[in-house]
Formats: sequence, C-alpha cells, structure tokens
Amino acid sequence: MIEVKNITKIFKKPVRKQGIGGMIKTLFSNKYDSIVAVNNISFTIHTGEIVGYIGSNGAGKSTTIKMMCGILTPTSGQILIDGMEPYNSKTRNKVTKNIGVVFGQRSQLWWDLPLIETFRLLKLIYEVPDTEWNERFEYFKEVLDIGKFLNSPARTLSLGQRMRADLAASLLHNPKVLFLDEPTIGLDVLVKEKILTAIKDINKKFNTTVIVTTHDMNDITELCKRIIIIDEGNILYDGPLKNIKNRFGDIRHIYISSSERMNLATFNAAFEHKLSFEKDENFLIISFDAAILSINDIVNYIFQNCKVKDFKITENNIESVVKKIYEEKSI
Amino acid sequence: MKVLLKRYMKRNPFKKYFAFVKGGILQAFSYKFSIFGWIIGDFIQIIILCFLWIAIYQYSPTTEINGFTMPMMLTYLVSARIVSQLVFSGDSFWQIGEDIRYGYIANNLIRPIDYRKRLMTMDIGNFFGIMIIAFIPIYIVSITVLHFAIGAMFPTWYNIIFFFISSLASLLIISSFNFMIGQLAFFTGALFGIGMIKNELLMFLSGGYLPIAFFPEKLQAILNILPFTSVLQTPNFILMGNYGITETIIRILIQFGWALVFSVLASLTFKGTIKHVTSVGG
Amino acid sequence: MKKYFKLYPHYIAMCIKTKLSYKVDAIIGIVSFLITNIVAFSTLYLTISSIPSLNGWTFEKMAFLYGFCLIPKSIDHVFTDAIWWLGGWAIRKGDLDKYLIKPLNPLFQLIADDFQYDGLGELILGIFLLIIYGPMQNITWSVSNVIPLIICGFFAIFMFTAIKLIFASIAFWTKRSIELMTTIYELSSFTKYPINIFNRFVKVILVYIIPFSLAMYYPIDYLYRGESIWILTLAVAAVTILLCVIAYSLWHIGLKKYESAGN
Repeated sequence: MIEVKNITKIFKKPVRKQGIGGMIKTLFSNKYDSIVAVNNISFTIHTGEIVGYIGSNGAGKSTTIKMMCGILTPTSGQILIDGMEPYNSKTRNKVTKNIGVVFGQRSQLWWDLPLIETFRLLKLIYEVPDTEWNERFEYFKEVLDIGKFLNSPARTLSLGQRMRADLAASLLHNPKVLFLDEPTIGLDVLVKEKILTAIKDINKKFNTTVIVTTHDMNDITELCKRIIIIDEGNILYDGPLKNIKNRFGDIRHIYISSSERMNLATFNAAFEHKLSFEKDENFLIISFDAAILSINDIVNYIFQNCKVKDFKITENNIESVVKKIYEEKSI
Repeated sequence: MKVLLKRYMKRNPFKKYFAFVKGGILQAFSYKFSIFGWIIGDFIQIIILCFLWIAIYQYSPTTEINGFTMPMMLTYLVSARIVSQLVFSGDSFWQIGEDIRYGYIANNLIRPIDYRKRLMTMDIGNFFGIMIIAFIPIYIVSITVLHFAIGAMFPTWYNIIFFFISSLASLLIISSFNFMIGQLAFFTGALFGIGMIKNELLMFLSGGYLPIAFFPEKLQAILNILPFTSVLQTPNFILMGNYGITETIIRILIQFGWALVFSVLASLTFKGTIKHVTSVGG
Repeated sequence: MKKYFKLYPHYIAMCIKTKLSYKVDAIIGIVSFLITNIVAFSTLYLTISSIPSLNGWTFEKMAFLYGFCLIPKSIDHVFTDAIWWLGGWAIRKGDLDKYLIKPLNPLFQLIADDFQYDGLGELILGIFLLIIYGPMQNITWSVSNVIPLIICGFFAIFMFTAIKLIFASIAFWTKRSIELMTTIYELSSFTKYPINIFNRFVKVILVYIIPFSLAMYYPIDYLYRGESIWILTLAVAAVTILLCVIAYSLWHIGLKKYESAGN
C-alpha cells in the first residue's frame, strides 16, 4: 500500500538574467527563486490498483513519482510504501527491493552489453532465486516478445524493443509496485498494444500495483480504473475514471453521412432542442447527452428519416474532458 | 563612425559565429561555481609552480639557468600557461569528433572547405571569447603580481599588438592541426585518449611546461624546425618582449607560413579520409 | 556486506566486456596515460638536471619518489574513476536516479560502474620506476621499512578516493564541481617534490589539508633518512580514515539534497 501524506516539494533555482551582462551579474548574485513543484498533496493507493497519474508538463507528476521511488526527498510530508519511506537511506534498500521503475525517456539497461547480461546482473542485485527467476524470465520473454533480441546490445535496439526490455528488467524481481513514467512515449500502435496488454496481464496475474504517468489518454482508458489529475502541483481530481465521464455528462457524438439532407430544425425539436450539430467534411455530427436522451430513440429517428450511407458513434474522449478540468481547475 | 561599424558588423561573417560562441560560453559558464573553480584552480597551479621554481633557483649555483633568470622564468611559465589556454582551446577537435560520431560529415559529405571554414570560425570565435573573459583578466592580474613581486616587466604596446597577431596565427595552425587529428574519429571512438595525447605532446614540445632551452641540444634543433616552437614559444616570447621588431615580424611570418602548410595538409588528409570512408562504406 | 563483494566482480566484468568491444580505444586509452606520465617524467628530468640537487634530493631520489606516488594514484584511478562523473555531469543529467531505485548502496553502484584499466599503464610505470631507481638508493631493505611503505601506499589509495569524493559531492549543491576537483587532484602532482622547498603556506596545504604529501612524500623521506616510518604510518592511516568518513558523510548529505534532472 502506498500512502502519500501531505507531500510538498520545493526547488530552488538561481535567478538567471539574460545575455552576457546578465551572466556576469548572475555570477555575483546569490538570489534564488523557490519553485513549488508539488503542493501539499495526499492520496492512498491500494495493492493491485492500476492508477493513472496525469498532468501537463511541469505539473509535478515526475516529481511525485521520483519521490515515491526514493529518488527525491520531499521538502515536507511523508510517503510510505508498505509502511517504509523510500527516500530514507535506512529503509531505501528494503523498499526498492519491492519496486520496479521504468522511465520512458531513459533506459536502465547496460547500454553496450547484450540484454541478457543486464538481466543476469539484475538477478544478482535483487537476489532472485533461480527457479523463480527462470519462471518469470520465460513469462516475460513470451508476454513482451523479447526472445529475438536477447543477445543484442541495448544500444542497437529500436525504441519499442528497448521499452519492452526495460519493462522486463523492471519486473524480473517480482516487485509489488511498478512505476511507469511515460512508458509508451514515441512508440507505434502495435508496440503500445503489446505493452499495455502485458501490463494488464501482469497486474491480473501477480496483483502488482501499477502507477502510470502519461500524456496518452489511450493508455489511461486501456489501463486505469482510477486516475489522479495533477496541475501546478495540486491535485485536481482523484477518483474513478468513469466518474469523470459521468460528471461531464455522457456526451455522445453520432457521425452520419447521407446523400439526403435532414431537416435539422424538426430533428432538434423532436428531442427538446437538446441536440447540437456540426459539419465535418462529409459528416454531420450530432452531439447529445446520453444521460438525458435515449440513444435508441435518436438512432431510430435518424434511420427513419434519412438514407444513411455511413454511421459512427463515439463518446467524449478523456482528453477533452481532462482539458476541461485543467481549464476550470476544479470539478 | 557608428554607421561604418554597423555596416562592418553586418558584413562580418564572424558575427553569427560569435553568437554561437556566446551561446557556448554562456552554457559552459552557467554554473558560477564552475568558472570560479576554473579560475581559482588556474591561480593555485600557477602559484605553486612559481614557488617550485623559486626554490629551484635557490638551489642553483648560478642566477641564470639555460639563459633564464628567475623573473624571466616565472614570467615565461605563467604566461605560457595562460597563453596555452587561449591558443590550445581545441573545441573544434571535440566538435569534429561529435560530427563524425553522429554521422553529420559522412551523411552530408559537405564540401570540405565549407566545413573547415565553419570550424575555424568557431575556433576564432572561441579565441575571442576566451580572450575577453579569461585571458585578459587573468593575465593582467598575474603580470601585475609578478611585477611587484619579482620585478617582471610589463609588456609594451607593440608587444601586445604583435602578440595578438602571433597568437591568432598559432590558433590557425592549431585549428588545422586539430582538424587533421580529429579525423581519427572516423577510425576509433577513443577521441578522449587521442585528445589527451595530442594536448600533452603539444604542451610539452611547444615549451608549455618548460622552455625549449631546457631540452637537449639535438631535440631543440628538431623542435625549432618543426612548427611546435612557433605555436606557443613564439607568441609567449613576443609578449615577454624577448624579440626585437625585425625578429618578431620574421617569426610571425613563419607562423603564417606554417598555418598555410597545415591548412593544405588538413584539406589533403580530409580528402583522403573521405575517399577511404566512402569506399569502405563506414 | 558479503553481497557487495560477490557483486563487484560482476560489475567489473561488465565494464571490461564493454570496453573490450572497442579494442583500439582500449589501447589508445592506455597509451594516453603512459604518454602523459612520460611527459611529466621528462619534464621532471629536464628540470632537475639543470641544477645539482633540490634540497639534497638528486634526480634518482626524485624518480623513486615519483614512482612511489604513481602507484596509489593509479590504483585509485582504475577503480574509482566514476567519481569524476559525479562532479561533472551526473547530477545535472539525473544519472544517479537509476542507482537510487535499486536495493544497493548508490555509492557502490556509481563506483562499480566504471573500471578504467587505462590506469594500469600508470601502475606499471610506477612499479618500473621503483624497480629501476630503488637499488640506486643506499638503503637496506627490510621488513621494518618495506611493510610500512606498503601500508602507507595502501592508505594513500583511499586518500585519493576520499578527496575526490569530497570535492565531487560539492556538486550536489553547486551542480558541477569538476573544475575544482581537477585543481585539487592536480595538487597531488606536487608531491613529487621535497615539501620543504615550498613556502609554509603550500606545505600546510599539502601536508595537513589535502594531505597527499603526508601519505606519499614523507614515507619516502623518512626512508631515505633512515628514520622509522611506523608512527608516520599510523598518522597516515588515521588521517585517511578521517577523510573517508568526511567524504562519505558529505556524499550522504548531498544525496538527500539531490534534485535529479529537470522536470
């Protein structure tokens, strides 16, 4: 269980001025700006949860994750993973034995050596017993499909291969908690799918707690039941994913293309003027709140009144919902 | 006057490179501790070196060793150190390494002349940058201290002007030299090791650690024929005022001669390297 | 503790395997250190040859001292070169992150991550000088002078490491301290001269504050003068241990302040 209690993190950055004159002035000045990266946030994550931690760049997500991993020490407040502080040098070793971390932007593999060497050394570092290691190794080889390049040096791998290898490396010691910092950044659709499926599988099979930070809303919808939204160091939302959709209404969009034209005024009147219309190339987009109006009725109306050539129904994407939350800074 | 200056600046190709250099300096010096550490480090080294030589002269039966009195020796060593930092500032060397490593040269096969021009202007920009920010202040402080401590002589106006020209010539020689050696990056990744070897040998053989006069006779003869002496000892002696005007001019001309020679060598070797690399498909 | 001894050879093996994949580079590395030292040695030779002796020290005596100084310096260089990264760029780039998330002492990981066998060139040169110039000194070699010399040399290795670490750790506060590290490290090159030729200020620095001369010059000096080296050895050991404690504490405190790479 991860408990984050009233965490604040303040960074001091030297005040820097422009140009050569400014550079010389900065040389002799001692002024610092205090930047509050994380401002008194708290939350608790229970074993087996998959939590999405989202926010714009500079919002404080990476800082929080780094504090949870033990890389940074909070300026005030406390983080406990199974009752121990990860950043405390006395308990760090015990905590890190049970966590795995994947940084999307940086690899933890030994760069010039074959993958298998990294894995072997990790086995020794985490003191994983042979039988357990063999089992897990085979499992990850399959689930992440890394068998083909086990003997290649990490520097020769493509981004997708490297991410899968990093993921395997972080999980070989059966950590209770997995931290993923932008794990799918820069990856193509197929590889992303593989990785997301693997994570879900691992969570189901080993009950690993997973915390994911990402910009990719698709990752979030695929993986997380709960999300925490952070902005400028403060938590804007912490709760189930579907509640967000519900709070913002269950907006649906129907795209239809037809050779005929519908009378939109009558259409709207039939549904209490609660529809909105938009044109997008060849499509007419009809938007409405499915919590208020019946999808069945609307679809029936459309098919009765129009010869439909193409039809699509979508829901409001999380992206725009989240954007709205940022904009309003509250729910 | 201002108008003329502005027009000159507009046409000055160095301006945009100076912008690069400015950026480079700003970046390197963005940690004030870095700069202070560097400057203080330099001073400490110089001070201890002076003490060493003061002691050596104390134990010498003669006041002159190999033609140098103690004040001359200290002045020589201190300015050799400072001048070497100005002239040997081989950033272009590392740049070539980077460019080769990341395939910039191989992939683009840009015209050798343009590429070299770019590197040389980078070096020249660097030269001016270091001159203003580090060389002038450190030298002024050092020579002032030496003057009051042991009676070292201040350089005269024409010493300074000729020194400026001479060190520029040295820079050109070194720039081409760096370019030649830098091409080894095509064949190995160990540029750091090669850089160290180059720098150490250069410092040693050009009189950076010890005046050439201390070397065995035969070696001195060889070194005087090779460009090594021109690169550091010449500008240093000019600054110290050891040469008369005629000799100064002759030596500067020799320097520019070497600069030309090395420039040609650099272009030739580059052509050869490119041919080799493209044929092998590196 | 046992775990660290078991793991270290594996780390070294990883480093060697990595470097061996670049064979030419490896050779160039060794050659570069050899050349640096040959240049320094030649400079020493040419300098000292111009006077009869330096405070009673002839060139042969200084060459032996030089060889002796090379040994702890090179051994430290082989094993702990990674400390330079700390003062140079590791903090700014966030390179320490990957050490902090593993259940292993981060300092151990940092140091274990590099094995510079280039330094072996220096080591060989040092031993070579000892062998050539040793017999030229009028010394009766016996257990009572060889053993304390070896002990001093042994502690001197850790003195280098501790001093490097102290100044590298300053980077936790200033982001980059490699220039200062270099300056201090290069002070060690002055230990090849008899300390008494310097003025008192320099002597205080090299013997009491950055005590390279305490650990490397004085043992040889006592050796030449036929004085017992044992008490000196005790002093060297005590000072080195003190320096190690300071170094590790500074590292420890700095690590808490570690801010990783930009957000």
